[in-house]
Amino acid sequence: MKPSLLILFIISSSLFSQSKIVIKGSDTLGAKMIPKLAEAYQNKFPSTKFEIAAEGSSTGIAAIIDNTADVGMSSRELKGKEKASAGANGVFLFKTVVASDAVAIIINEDNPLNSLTSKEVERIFTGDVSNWSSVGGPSGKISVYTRNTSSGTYAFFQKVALSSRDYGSSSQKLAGNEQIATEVAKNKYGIGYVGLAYLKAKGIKAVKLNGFFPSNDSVNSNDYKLSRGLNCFTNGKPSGITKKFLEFSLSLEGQEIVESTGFVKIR
Amino acid sequence: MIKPDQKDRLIKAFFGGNAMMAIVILGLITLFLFKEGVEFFGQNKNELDIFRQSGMEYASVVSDQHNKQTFIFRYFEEILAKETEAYEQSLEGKAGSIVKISKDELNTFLEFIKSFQDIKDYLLLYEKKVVKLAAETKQFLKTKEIVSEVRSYATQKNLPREDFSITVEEIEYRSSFTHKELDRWQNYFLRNEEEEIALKIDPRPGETFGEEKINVINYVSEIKNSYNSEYLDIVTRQNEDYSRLLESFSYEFILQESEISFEKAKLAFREYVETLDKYESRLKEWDPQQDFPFSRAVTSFVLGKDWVTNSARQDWFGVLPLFTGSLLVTVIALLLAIPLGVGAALYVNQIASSREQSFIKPWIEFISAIPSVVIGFFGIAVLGGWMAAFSDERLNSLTAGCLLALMAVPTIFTLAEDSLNNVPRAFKEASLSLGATRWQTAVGVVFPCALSGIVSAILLGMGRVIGETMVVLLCAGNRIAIPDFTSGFGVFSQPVHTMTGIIAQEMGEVEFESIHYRALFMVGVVLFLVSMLINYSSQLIAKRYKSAY
Repeated sequence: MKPSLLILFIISSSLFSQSKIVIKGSDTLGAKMIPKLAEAYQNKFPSTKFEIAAEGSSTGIAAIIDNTADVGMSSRELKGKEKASAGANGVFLFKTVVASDAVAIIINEDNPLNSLTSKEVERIFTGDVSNWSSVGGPSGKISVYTRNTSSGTYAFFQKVALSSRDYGSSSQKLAGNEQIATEVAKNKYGIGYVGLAYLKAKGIKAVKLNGFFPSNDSVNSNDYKLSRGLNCFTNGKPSGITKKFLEFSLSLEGQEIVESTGFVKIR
Repeated sequence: MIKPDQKDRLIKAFFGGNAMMAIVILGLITLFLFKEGVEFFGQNKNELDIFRQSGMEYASVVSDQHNKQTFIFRYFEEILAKETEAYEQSLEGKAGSIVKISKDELNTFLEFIKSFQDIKDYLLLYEKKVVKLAAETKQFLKTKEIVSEVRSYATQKNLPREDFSITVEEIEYRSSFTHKELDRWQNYFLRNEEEEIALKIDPRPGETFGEEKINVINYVSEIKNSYNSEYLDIVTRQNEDYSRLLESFSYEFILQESEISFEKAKLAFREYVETLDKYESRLKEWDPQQDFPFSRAVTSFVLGKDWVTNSARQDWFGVLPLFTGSLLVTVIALLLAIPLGVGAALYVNQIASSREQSFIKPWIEFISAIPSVVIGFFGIAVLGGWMAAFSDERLNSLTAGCLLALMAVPTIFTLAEDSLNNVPRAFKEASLSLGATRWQTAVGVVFPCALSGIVSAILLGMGRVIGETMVVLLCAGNRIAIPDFTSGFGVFSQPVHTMTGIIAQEMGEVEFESIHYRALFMVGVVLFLVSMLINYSSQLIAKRYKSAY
């Protein structure tokens, strides 16, 4: 082919191959991790545009069902109602796990305890036990800090760590991860739970759960029980550029980015 | 050209119309609030009936029994805490530590505590099992209701009968629905273009329960049978193991009082054992078919001691913890604000020189200009830290109370000062001319005269404080439980939740027209009634005791 025609072909094809991926959903995924992945992807394939809106896992799943997004980010599993809605709309929700997150149990760094069993965690957060001495700690009343009822982490912890029992009535409901970390850091007898990314705060330390610290290895080997997958839902198996983006997220480079954001790689 | 006569009438109509509009809008808000709220009671009655029919009530009795055992456990736990503290102090060589024991010896007590909890767990496991069965039954009952509803709808709409031939009577007798059937019925409505109805049916694809993939089952008979087959055995086993544990326990207490407390705890345990037959009779007599009276739906809200939402078991909507929380922070705020506000008003109005007046007044009034969210932020950042010096909890009712007092002072100050001003000068001058000092005049003559206005000012300050949301949401600690008034002054260091705070916190997550949504509206109604009462009494007092000068 003549060189000028070739150049024209290349220019026109790059102009017409502007493609867009619409991603909606969870704040846990959409605040830092997905944007970073999108940025790295764009560096490789500059013709792709991203539209990311992180207004909560429920909005992401609803958007896939309505067909207003390509990828729905969710830090939780599907609810029955959502599966029913999807079925009713002829949508098949396909899940791709792009990262793992662990919920770490934190105590004040001056607390001499280092590990707790799941039974003890259940007993502490449901209020069965109210003094640190009953779990082998120093003498002092346990101050329990939790998230509030609108948080997915609250629901997840209740289901997995408390086997669906109710939180103790003396627990204090705070609005976010940062607030829990702050209160536990300031209270010698405090205990709470936060996502992995908040362990770096000063004054707190994570406890071993059944002998395992929350870390990449313990999450991937399934030894740390309070781990959850961070999901991307699509309508049916991903295809086209959505497929390429999700494959990138699962690639070595993508998983490095996942880790740098503070989450855990999928092996 | 508009005649001046007509112009007058137009102006009157305009302003009158505005006034009418304000009242009409107030009426609409009230109506809307009450309409949304009152439907709550019907939904609550429904919830209570399902609570009983599904076996969740049975589970809650087992739960109560387990909680009573936990309560007894607390006595032992307290003793362990004191022993541990004494042990820690003896390690540090503090004065007064008598018996020196080794860590191993303390550990025998710790082991006792752990074994006690393990025996308690027998009942807990049974409770968890019953809860699971009851939750499934709840799902079954809700599904049955929906299927009946859509069957009636299909009949009404004259939709073809082939794939949905089950009759409403047949639905009543069913004790389970399979996932296949529900899926088929959902598709039936989709084919007949009734998408909204189809969405109500939830076939729960892919979920299993037990070994089979059957969908929703009524487990009420299982629950009733488990009373004889499991519950009685568990209680017997518990009694045996508890007695064995208590008898074989040998440990030398560090503190003398611990030994006395231990005997007391054993006594409490024996008292519990004597109440065992009460639990047994409650469980035996549980009748899933008996309906709750409608009054229960009302009292469980107005006098309910629990506000639990998003529970896997049963949601409870009792306003009492929130109401007492609001009341507690209001009382604290008023205790602080009244002396400050009224005192300042008296001083500024009667005693201060005009230079002091022009300095103090604007600054106090400036406080009311600070946004409440900034004050709340100051609370968590700074005041909480100071509070940690007095109490275990940083964010508690005292923290919120102090900040609310700060916000109430300008209101009380301005209105009290106003009413002091309205006392005729003749009174003050007459008193001074009779030889009274300025201070005697202020306290003995002017203040009692303006009292009705001052009381009215206080009530308005109270109204402001009760309705404040941001400060309490950030600083009151957010513990949903009735504050423990038996601990005397300790009640001030307890975190509380308030009516305003709970609405702000939970409104974002409730489903439109669900029972939780309506319950929050009812809390709003209670707030509205309280504010109206306060404002009405403030106006009444101002009017009744206002003497004509």
